Amino acid sequence: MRINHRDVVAGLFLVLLATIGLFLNMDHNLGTARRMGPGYMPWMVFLLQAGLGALVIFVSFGKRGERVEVVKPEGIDIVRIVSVLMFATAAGTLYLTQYGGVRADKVVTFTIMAGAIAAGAIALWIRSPETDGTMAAWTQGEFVAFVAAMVAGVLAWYFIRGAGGYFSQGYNAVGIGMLVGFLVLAIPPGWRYLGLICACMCIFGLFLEKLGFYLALIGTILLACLAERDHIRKPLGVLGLTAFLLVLCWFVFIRELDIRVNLWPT
Amino acid sequence: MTIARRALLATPLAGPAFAQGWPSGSIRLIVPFAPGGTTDLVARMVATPLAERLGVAIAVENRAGAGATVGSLRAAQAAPDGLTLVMSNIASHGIGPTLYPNIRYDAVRDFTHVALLISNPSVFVANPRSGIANLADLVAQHRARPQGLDMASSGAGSSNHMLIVRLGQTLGKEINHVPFRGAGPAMTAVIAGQVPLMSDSLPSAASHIRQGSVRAIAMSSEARHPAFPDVPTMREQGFDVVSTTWFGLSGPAGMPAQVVERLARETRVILETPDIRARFAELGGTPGAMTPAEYTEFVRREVALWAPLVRASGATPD
Amino acid sequence: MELLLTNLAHGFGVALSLQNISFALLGALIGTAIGVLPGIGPVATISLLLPITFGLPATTAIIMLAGIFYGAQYGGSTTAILLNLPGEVSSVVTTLEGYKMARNGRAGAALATAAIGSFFAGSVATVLVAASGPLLTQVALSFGPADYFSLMLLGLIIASVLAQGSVIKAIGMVVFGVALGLVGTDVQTGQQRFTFGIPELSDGIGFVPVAMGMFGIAEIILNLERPEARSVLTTKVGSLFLTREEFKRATPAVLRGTLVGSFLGILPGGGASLAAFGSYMMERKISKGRHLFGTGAIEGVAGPEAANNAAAQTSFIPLLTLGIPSNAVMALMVGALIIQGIQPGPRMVEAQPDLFWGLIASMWVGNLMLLVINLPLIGMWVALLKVPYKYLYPSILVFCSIGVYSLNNNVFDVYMTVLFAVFGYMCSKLKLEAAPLLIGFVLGPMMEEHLRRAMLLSRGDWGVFIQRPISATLLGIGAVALLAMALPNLRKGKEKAMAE
Repeated sequence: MRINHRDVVAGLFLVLLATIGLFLNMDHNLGTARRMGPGYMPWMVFLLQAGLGALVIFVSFGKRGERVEVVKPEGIDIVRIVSVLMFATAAGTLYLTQYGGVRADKVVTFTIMAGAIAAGAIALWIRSPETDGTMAAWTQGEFVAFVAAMVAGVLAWYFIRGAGGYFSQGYNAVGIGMLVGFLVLAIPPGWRYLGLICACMCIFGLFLEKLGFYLALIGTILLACLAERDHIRKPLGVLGLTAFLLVLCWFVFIRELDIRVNLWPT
Repeated sequence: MTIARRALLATPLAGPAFAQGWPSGSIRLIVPFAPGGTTDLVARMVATPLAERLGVAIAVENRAGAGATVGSLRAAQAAPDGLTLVMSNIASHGIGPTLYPNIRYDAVRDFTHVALLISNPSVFVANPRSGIANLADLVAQHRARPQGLDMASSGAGSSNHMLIVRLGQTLGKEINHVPFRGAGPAMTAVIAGQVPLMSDSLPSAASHIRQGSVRAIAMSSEARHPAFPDVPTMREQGFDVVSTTWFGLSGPAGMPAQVVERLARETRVILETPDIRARFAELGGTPGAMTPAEYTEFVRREVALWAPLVRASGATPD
Repeated sequence: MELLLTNLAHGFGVALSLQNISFALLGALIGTAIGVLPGIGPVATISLLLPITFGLPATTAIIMLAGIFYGAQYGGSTTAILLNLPGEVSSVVTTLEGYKMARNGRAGAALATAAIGSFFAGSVATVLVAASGPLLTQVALSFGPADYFSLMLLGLIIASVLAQGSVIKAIGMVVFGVALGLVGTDVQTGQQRFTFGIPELSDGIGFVPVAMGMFGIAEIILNLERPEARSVLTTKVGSLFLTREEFKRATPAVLRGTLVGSFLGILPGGGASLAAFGSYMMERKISKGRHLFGTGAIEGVAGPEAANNAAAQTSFIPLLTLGIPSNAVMALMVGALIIQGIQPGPRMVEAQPDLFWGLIASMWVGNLMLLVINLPLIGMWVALLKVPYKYLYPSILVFCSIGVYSLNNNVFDVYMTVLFAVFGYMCSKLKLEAAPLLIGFVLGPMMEEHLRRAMLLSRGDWGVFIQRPISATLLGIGAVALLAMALPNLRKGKEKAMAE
């Protein structure tokens, strides 16, 4: 059997997002064609998207040139699918009941549905023989890091948001959760750049309001530089870059534009 | 670049804004309607002298949607450092709290009300090609059409919207209310003839009436308005309604007392300048003269006053 | 015609005073600088600069503000070409071919094309505004809600040709973009949609976090993953100016872009945002270099840039003739005029001829200033690409972070950008393209508003979209475009099947 693997995943991805959307849209009143309620347009849009996603999957079966084995779940696959499913259910329930204002009975259906589709997509994905890019063929390490990052991130967020003070303010707990998740994700080489670059923007968000503009910049730059092996060999360049960027950002954003930020730790 | 630098406010800032040092940076004034309406006009008119008196820039920001409640919510959620202000008005702070079932702020508790800026009547305007020159024409056309007439407004929840609902009830046949994100886009639609009629606050309609791009057919004031003596009142034409729209200056709840006091003082001085008085008169509005306490009480009364009226009217946001 | 020339001459008399020229230059300079910085848009800049214009004569003030407006638009294209960072809607399209050109070592040519194309389009549109402003207003006014909806729908259909790959996937992304655009408070009923109770989402997901995450940050991650691609980026810079052949290809694209942009710009309520990619679609279908699209075709920079600038000029028309500002920048202009005691509107031409004709002339002067500033700067911008990537990417990251934060002074936007960076990275791995998504994201909310209004006016009758001639024509074009896209694919598929 020949299918274009990436298109199957892309199609599933679109269908998954549309299903989530349609599900969430159940809270909104559709109204009538004359007086459209808040749910009318989203309803049309998500239906269309689900249809298009299905079409993408359908067309992918006709594509030539990319030979792919039929997916046959093996032991390891089942372990993967079950773990992803469990994680999706747990995280979804946790988030939606804590923050979402979505009714609890819907949450269970929703997460199971989302989890099942996500698991299917990932199962297809990891069996793909295509090797361009990291996502097409996951190694064992990449998969473990992916799940570990999700779990670590959610746990970090969940436990730290009650810690009080800085940790309970604004989006700091979310930021820490994301930071932890991305740092764990950065461990296997395949995810390194994604994890590090995202983590260093999280550092910026976490530092800025507490530690001030300059320390946030320094943190971001140093972490960003970890992504490049050259920098680790030649730390002097990093130092120069940091100094240069500090001066430049001070000049542009503080002196000329006067954006409103804390400059120093408070 | 020196001018630019001065303009872009080289006020140094270390730490959160304190009342003593207020204003410590540029001020954001949220206009909860699209550009081109009364709220927008008045905000820009007052912002300019206010910025001069306070010595900082005031950036007017249009955040339109859902009858001015989107922008107002944004202001309610901002830090009460006096650097985010909002144009409170009858839609978001008088009628909206009752009209919108899932509104997420309290018009009194979640704001610090500073000053009433302007109050003015509403006016019904018609596209000159619509063949409607007075209320009698409007009624005749409305009755003649099986589906009735369309009438635009700056958004659901404005007193202009309520007038449309009331008129429909008086006539015993609903007028099709077409809400926009603000008076600017609504006026464009009327001038273009997409919608034949509009119920608008007088200031935003004034220049268009004078230019003749739309025709004023009825005014919601008690007596004929001095700025437009030719336009008959609604009452004169047998529609027994008097209605006034108001716009004011507010901030998030919990603004420091000194800041409120300073803002109120400066605003009052500005509203008393002959220049602003002359411009308001030209637009058909009366400058406000209320202390923060009076204005807060005024808003409280408006919410209470409108609640039964809105419920009785059966009006809905869409 | 003679009257027009006299009037224009009068206008130039006003605009070409030393004071006005220097303020036009200053405005264009500030605008360019602002445009280059991610996240800081022209609206914020003009608001903050408003106070210094109080002391200036009305004409000078408006000239300077207009200069900032044009400058910011041009500055946005610079980062789009060099770094794949679209600062605003119009430059999303510029990233498609412009960034590819930069990677091929033709950054200089792309920047020069953008500058020259913009200047030409600006000049033509200026004359258009002067000669037939009132007439064009009538055209704009004949568009009703149903027509706008169909126009946007056509826009979305043609947005899918922005994609390099599968059309169905692109349409899927457009649709998902529309859905993302619907997040936030419903403009009619005030209900919160898809906000999960997060206050920051109540007025929607911001354009900048989405654009910066999916384009700028995701691109950094992808570049880091492909060391070989990075070295190409930095070693090949190539000649700064256009070759004769490039010039020949760009010229007709600029002409067509000017036409498309001038027309779409006059439509208040979203026309201008369609200009750039309307032109892109056209170039991709009919230009001589259409087979080169996706690899850095100069037409794909020349046309959209021209269209964009032409639309920026003609968007003044509703303001000058009706006195109704069609967007936030125009509202600021009105604010500046009102402060000077001038009420914009049809009577402005008679009441304030100096201002009216001076403004029109200054549009042209503003464009000239942009050219003067930017042509010499191209060398400097291109030199930026010679900076080794290992130094460049931390700088981009830092600038993006600060820019995103300063949008609302809220770290929430920083985290949003991160999430969209991950999303953009995944999409790029799945060959789902970001540009169609962004167009859908921008047009979606407008579309919903027009749709609901059209249906309210038609009392729930869907027939209105085919009964109105403008709407019916637009829908017809859309249907043809869809068919034209589908047919070659079907045929290709068949041929392949036969070959097997």
